[in-house]
Amino acid sequence: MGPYILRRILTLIPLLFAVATLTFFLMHAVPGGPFQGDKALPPELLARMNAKYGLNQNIGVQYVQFLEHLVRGDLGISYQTQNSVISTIKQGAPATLQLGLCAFAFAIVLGLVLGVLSAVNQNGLFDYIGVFVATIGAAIPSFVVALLLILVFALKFHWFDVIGWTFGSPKTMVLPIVSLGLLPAAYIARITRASMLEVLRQDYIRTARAKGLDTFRVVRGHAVRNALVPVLTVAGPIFAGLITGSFIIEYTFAIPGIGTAFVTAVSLRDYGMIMGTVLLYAFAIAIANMVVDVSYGVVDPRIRY
Amino acid sequence: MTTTRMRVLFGVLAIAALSALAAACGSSSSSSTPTANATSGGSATAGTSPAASPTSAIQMGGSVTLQGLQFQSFDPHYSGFSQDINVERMVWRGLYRLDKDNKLQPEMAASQPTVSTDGLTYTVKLQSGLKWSDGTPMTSKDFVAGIVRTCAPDTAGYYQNFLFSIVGCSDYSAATKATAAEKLALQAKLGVSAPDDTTIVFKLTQAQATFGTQLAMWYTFPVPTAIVKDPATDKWPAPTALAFNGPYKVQSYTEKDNIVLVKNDNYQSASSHKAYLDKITMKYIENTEQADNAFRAGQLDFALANTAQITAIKSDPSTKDAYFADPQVATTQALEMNLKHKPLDNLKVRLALSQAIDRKQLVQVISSGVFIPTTSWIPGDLVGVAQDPFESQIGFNATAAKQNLADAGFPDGKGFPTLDFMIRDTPANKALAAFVQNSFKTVLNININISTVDSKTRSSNFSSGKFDLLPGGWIQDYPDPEDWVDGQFNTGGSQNFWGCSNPQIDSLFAKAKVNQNNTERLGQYKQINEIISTTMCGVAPLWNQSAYYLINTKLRGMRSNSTSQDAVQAADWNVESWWLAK
Repeated sequence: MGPYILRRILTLIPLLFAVATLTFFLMHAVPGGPFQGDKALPPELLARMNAKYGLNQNIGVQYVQFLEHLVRGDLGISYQTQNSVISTIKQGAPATLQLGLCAFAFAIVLGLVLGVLSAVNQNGLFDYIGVFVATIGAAIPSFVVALLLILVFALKFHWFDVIGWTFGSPKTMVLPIVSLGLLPAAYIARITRASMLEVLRQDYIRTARAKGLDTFRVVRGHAVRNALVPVLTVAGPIFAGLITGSFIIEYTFAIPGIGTAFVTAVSLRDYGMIMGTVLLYAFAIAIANMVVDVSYGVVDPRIRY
Repeated sequence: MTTTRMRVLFGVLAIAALSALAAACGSSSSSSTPTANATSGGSATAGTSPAASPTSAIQMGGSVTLQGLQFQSFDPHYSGFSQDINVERMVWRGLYRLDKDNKLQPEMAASQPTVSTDGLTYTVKLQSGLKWSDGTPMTSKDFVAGIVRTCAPDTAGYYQNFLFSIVGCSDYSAATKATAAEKLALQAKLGVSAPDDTTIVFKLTQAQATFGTQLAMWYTFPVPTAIVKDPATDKWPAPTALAFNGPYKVQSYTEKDNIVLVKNDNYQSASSHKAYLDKITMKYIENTEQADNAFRAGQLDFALANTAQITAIKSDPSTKDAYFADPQVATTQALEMNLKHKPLDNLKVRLALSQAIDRKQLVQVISSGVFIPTTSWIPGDLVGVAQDPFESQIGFNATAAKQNLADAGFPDGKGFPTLDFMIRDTPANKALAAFVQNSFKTVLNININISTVDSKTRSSNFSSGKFDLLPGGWIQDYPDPEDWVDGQFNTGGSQNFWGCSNPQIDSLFAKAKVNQNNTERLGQYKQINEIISTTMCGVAPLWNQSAYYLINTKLRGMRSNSTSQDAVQAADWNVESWWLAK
């Protein structure tokens, strides 16, 4: 497995290079620049500010300079904050990661529990409840869930805060996590249910039951582990999606993560921040996919690398 | 000045939230200091916020939490965005300040400036004993450094050109490719000097009646030279590494999350007083809808009110008493036209387009009637005219509009080209575009093409002349008609992107710019405004914008200034006078 992991890590280099190059030329192809606002600047002043940051140079020259800096790990400054992109990302990444990881854990736990209960009680009360929750979760966009939760639990009952994020404080964490994690939880529940139903019909499950094992032992010892492979397949992209797709929730709850920074960077033509966040996201997605591929071998001993 | 923001709002809240809000806000206050009556200058009792009570005794101490927006730069000599300037004004002050009537009052200066008879030399005396928040003495050299930093080519900021009346500033700022020695030589030629620790002398290239006002603006604030050793080249330090001379100083700062300000005991104003509140926390919230919810939940004492939900806010028991409308925000929105594109070079066509728009109905559609219709480019109070002075000339008149279009050679719209109407991708802009498109079709029988772009694309197209029509306008930088004309309507002006060229405007502006007789000068700007508005020299004024806030009913002392900064943050020019009622 070691050589496989090493090979996957090495393929990251050309992948990130390709992502960086594509992003660089795409973002420079869009009209407008970082110093153009709703109120137009005098052209000479605009030219002076562009010159200060080397934005007046030929795009090829800018690309070469960008690569030189990138190799040294320098992504330049954010025009939004005048700070280095690296420090801005370092500042925002913890909140985004905390939110993403917690939402992922929430989605996995809720999704698995709902999926397993539904499958074990097929066409029973738990199944209907599970399917109902999964359908609702999949049908309502996260920002609508967020607003509904805020209206009820923050404004009506005052149980939670409307804005903010303090790691370790349920008052600030619960609503963003539930808002972000509900959709993937619903998806995982549906996948788990389908996978469990298939496994529960297998001969070895029938054998286990014939040997006299109770339902709990059959499910825990034989069914769940075998039903996990399809769930693992979707867990990787879900994890990456939660880390990279949290900007709406960050925006809604005023969480100082990098999701919001990425979105505003695009609209503000903050080239350094766009590049930094795109590379970070590409890296996160690639790593998540790699972890999933490796974990197949852990869950299913038949898979070898 | 620009703001970066996205705003949508929803929802209402139960009546019970009001008491919860008050309780929560009360608990956020650390107001332990005994009540004190304000005796010093300032205008705390003359607040215009919803709960301002002239009879209340001012109470010291306490802390408040405001909705803020992440600043782009914390360097006042670079800043061009409202959210930057708002917080900078809380922690730094200039030689002068503008009072609630926009009159110049000494701030760090000891008195009004001494102006030479030719209007070319301004001498300012500083108060004695001024100190930065870290205890370092503040001298005239710090103010000279502020001018150097704004004019310097290596620290080019958004408002550099506002100081080009100072001798040498324009040449120095343009020397981007000069050697270090050449830059130093140009810096030495700047028309600002400090003959002693409490005197600053400014030399101007030409008399400018508004130069005193410039000395109240953020781009002339002093530089703490004990920290920023070379103002022309040094990177501006982080907020917590700086020294301050305003009512507050920075206690902590977390990028994209919040900034916490605490009272600066070294603040020494010649016309105001030390701050009443102990602490101000600005929580960065882009989403106005959520800021309003946080206000309802008691997490904020101040938030922008979402203009899309003003009607609901005004009737919602939890917000109606906290709702505060500031009609003084000096922003004119207009239908902008590219006079270099035919047939917009034809006055009759421009008149027809302007007369086809029913402004009263328009503001109902886009703002539930809270914006104020206007036909004047410069806000009326600046030039002494009524709110809608040219209504009979360029206001809604369907019959006259049709006739003017016919006189221009397009009877019943026949042969009129399809003009492009470029808008930003916002709900308000889309509603405006639909209204204008429908008005032109209904009244003039002409079609326009609506192209939707993002803000940066719009700016790029606008400044490179790639537009026919677009909604735009002007947000005031400083309260004087000069700011509404200079560079925009004079022939060849650097921001004259619509191609306005009128000899009468040029002649009047050349006189007004240097006129030391204020009454005469304002009269000249009044004439300029009439020409701009009635000939629609690039702009057909539509409405004046207002700003709307939610303010904790216990937070007192806020007042408005007719400046653009109020569009984002009310009363930041007066933050030392805010106080919390028990």
